Amino acid sequence: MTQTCITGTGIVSCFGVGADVIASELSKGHSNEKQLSAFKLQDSEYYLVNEIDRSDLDQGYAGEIQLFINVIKQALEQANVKLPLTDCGLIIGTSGFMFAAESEFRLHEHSGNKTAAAGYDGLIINPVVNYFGIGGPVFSVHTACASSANAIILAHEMIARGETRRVIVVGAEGLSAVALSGFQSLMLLDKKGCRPFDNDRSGLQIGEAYGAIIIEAKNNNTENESRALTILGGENLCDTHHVTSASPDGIMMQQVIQQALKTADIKPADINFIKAHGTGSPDNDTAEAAALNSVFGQAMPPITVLKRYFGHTLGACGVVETIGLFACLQAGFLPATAGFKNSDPALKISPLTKSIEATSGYFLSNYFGFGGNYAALVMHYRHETP
Amino acid sequence: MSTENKIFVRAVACVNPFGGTAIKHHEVLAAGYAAPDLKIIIKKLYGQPLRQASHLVELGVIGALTLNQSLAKTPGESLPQATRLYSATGLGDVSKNMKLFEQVSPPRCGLAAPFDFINSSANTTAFYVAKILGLNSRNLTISRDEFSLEVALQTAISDLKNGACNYGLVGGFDETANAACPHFLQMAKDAGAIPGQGAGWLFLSNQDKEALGEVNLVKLISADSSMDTEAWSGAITDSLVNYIDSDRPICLLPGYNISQSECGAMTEKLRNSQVQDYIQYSGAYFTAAAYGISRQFVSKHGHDRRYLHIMKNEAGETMCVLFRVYQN
Repeated sequence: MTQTCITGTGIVSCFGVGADVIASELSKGHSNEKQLSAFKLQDSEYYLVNEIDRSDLDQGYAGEIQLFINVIKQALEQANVKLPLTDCGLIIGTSGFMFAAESEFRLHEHSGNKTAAAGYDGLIINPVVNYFGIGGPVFSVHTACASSANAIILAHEMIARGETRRVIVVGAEGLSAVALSGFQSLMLLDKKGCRPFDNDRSGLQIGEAYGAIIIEAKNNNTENESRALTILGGENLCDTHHVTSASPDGIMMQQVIQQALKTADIKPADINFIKAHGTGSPDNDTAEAAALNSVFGQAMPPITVLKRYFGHTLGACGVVETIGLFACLQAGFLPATAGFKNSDPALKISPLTKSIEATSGYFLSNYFGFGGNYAALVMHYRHETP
Repeated sequence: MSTENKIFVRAVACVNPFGGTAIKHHEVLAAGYAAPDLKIIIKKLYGQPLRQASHLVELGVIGALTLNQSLAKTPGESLPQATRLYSATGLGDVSKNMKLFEQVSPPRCGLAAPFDFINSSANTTAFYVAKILGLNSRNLTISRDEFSLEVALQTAISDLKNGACNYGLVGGFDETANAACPHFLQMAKDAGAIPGQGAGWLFLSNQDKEALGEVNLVKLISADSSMDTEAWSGAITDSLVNYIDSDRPICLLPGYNISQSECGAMTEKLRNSQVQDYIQYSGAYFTAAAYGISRQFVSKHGHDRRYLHIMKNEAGETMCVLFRVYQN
């Protein structure tokens, strides 16, 4: 299958606007979590979160549209793509726009207007499509925490099949009282912050972020061919073990990784490093470790996890972590796994505790969500000495 | 006529929560009856209730189970485990969302109820469909407002045509009866329809075994403010040229946002085709196209029939689905 590449990125995260600041902070091992301040919730000690600075943003849907436009503008500028985007698609990966509807609900709660809560995707997406003059396919993928990873896979396939010239993939997730308290109801939050694959791990840490990447065919033009991040392929499968927990033996995670490698025509031994999903939840990390051990065995490549840095940005994490990882690689390093200190002997894997030098090679990115929705991506990074 | 890369429809299901005929469905919608508890239907179809599943999940699952049962009537036919699942919803579990906002907002400021939270995830229905039907392949939940079903169908057809898979299960489901969504209510009003709820599912394959019909084309016609109705209908019929092979009329299925004059222009272009205003009896919900399309495969026909489903969105884009139902 035709390879595609990422020609531009844009991000607004807990580290601020743009990818450069991410590399700078992650090189120092800084994670940017703090106690929730956006709204009040019961059990407030549990809500250690990674928040976007929203002080300059409008509230409600308007603020989310501003974030969309911000990240897409950054990505287009970096990719040197001019408007209008008649030959460009837009695929949004988000767990759903309930966070935006909740924000709108809060804006109107004193007026008793509940209609805001019945939002649909177009309320946010259509103004963005109009703003940029996007003429290609537009839709959202709602597959929980694998949403934007699946959006990347679909964009890659659409371009490789010649269905469109380029696609903007946006990962979008805002903090919401529903999501935070929902995870707390399920006893899935770690009040000390997430500790991926750690012996003392006890849950997630939620974050919010918007990210945009531009994906184009690798042979679109000579300039794009020089881009450093190539997408070789990915796969998505469904684990029907349980709606909120993975098969403990990691069998479906193993299968999605193997399928992704097969689609990319890459052998496990060719993988240079792994960006694991690593939510820090006891069950999910157990299943992912089992899957990685099954696929890679004794020849386990270095593993990094980014969840402590950005928080778990749910449906956005596929795009957000791709951008964060790419920023670090371009700055010359593969980041250490913040939050990981003590190995869990049962897992038989230990992610990086110190950053290592970035080198060219293939890598695997895992994304696993509720509803047994699993995605794995295989990419290639070509390192160029600055 | 193009014959290569055909995508065949192997089984369908269309359900509304009230059961019964289209006419009866329209009557109960018009009378304003609340949708019945679907747990009884689930138990009848599945043998056990879906513990803590929401009404929307049940609606989607009932459609998929109904399709699976109809498929099983043909000896040797069943949904292969490797069937990819493409589910579409325009509003998701909107009634659960409302409930959740009230749970976490003042004056309650409590925690979200766990199962309400789980059900609010848009892909929960797709999970249950996969679990019950034993599917572990690709599993996507796609949304694009009133085009949600069409985009899911287009994605499935692309995968099938490119050999990425051999089987695809495409479904649309929505509930809107309790949703005070101004955009949706206006759209339903413009269509002269009563808000409803339901589900439609199509089992697709790139192999023609036991096929009920075929999907020929799913195409987006971009918005162009300079196009008048004549040019718009011309652009649609031009895109069908390679797929129409006889003088036989095409039945027009108008979805949302198609005006009377646009409908008239299309019927003229399609050789005085019949018009079937299915939203009148499906009830209006974002993915009613799933019901409208799948229903045509259930109706008895003495000869092959072609259908064109057209729908516009608020941006003025048009989505077309051309399909053929074989003589049955």
